[in-house]
Amino acid sequence: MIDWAGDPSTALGLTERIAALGAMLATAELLARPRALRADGLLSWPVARLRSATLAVGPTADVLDRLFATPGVYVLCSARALGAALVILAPTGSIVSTGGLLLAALASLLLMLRTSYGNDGADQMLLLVLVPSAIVRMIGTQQAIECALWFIALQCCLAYVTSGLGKLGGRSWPDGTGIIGILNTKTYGMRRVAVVLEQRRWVAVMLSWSVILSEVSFPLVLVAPDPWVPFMLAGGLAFHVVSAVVMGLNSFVWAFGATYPAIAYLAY
Amino acid sequence: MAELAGLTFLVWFLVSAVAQLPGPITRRIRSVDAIGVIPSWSFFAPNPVRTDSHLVYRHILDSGIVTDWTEVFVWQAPPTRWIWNPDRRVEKAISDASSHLSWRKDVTGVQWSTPYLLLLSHVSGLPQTGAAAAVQFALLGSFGHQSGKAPFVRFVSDCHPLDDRLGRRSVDGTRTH
Repeated sequence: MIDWAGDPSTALGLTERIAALGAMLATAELLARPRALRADGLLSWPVARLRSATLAVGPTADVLDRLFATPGVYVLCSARALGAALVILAPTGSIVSTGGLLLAALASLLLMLRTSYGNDGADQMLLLVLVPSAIVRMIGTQQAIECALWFIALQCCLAYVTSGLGKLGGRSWPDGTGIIGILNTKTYGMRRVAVVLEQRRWVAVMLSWSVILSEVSFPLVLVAPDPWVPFMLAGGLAFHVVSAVVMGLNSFVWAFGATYPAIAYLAY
Repeated sequence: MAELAGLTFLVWFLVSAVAQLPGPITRRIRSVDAIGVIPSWSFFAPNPVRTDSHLVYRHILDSGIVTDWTEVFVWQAPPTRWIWNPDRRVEKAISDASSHLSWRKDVTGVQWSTPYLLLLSHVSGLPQTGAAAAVQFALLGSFGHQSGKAPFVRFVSDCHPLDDRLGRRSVDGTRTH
């Protein structure tokens, strides 16, 4: 038994802090490319608002326009970074930490509403961690905190199982060609690794099946014998670290890593 | 309150689970989910992307000369991307728009779609070489590190005037009114 995993508030506190680190990283990366946030940028609000009449015209749209156009979006990003910093620095469950959590969760919701372009699964998972955490911290009871831990853990399991079953349904994952193909791209790949897999197809097939089986079987961590739990979680974390190094999916380490304390709490 | 929160999380999770299955219910859920609180966990499934997306543009100058295609964003994977990867979002935005436009290219009114307007708005604001009358963009696919395979065209936009004073100008420079 791990000490922190025995107390729901402490487990959720660790989940919140890791998610807050992920939110800070995501915010810093957004602010590092301010041109993309401009009206003519690839993460443009004036264009993204056109997807819905409610966002495009009327009083709601006017309010959102102030918040989502530049320079309002910089303020929104800064608010998320501030909220995340408070979560990291303040004592778990304190008023300051809960306030920071609310700020980070609300800003994350608004940034997701602003545009769906450029967002990925890590942004979604951060939202699914921050929002329920903020809600249950305001309620403050152990029962509510346990509900949030279950929600976060089950969303992580759903993510892995959906992804694993989806890969099983495709032709290119089971035969290894899919993983070679993606690692051959400049966006998500690494030439050296792709060359090795191309030359040794059996390694690609084994790697594909290990990803598929690991993802599909991940929920077993919740019912596995105690001694197995750290190894299963370490395997999951290693998968994300390798994905960050090889594929550049750096934000997934934090977003999915944030769910692991919740899973550990429920597994023990 | 804890019970209400628990019920909310339960419904949220169940809707999330249902939304992973393809079909009309999922499409309906996604159509009302403007924020994205219902996740999509496909992650490179069922078949992962095997190509890189490229956004290119060119200008039609006042003189009628058509400039060469220029790539908007040349992806360079930095060695530090495992910890710091700010260009990921820009690349993902191009990739998202590319996948949306690839399967909508023959749909009537594609010029009014969000991805089309997003890319048009972006290339319209890019630096011009000379006095540009119009701009055109295209989306290409390439096979990454496999240099033996030639890039291919996914989508080509119409030509769009850059300045109102030019009126409705056609691609060859003649005025239409």
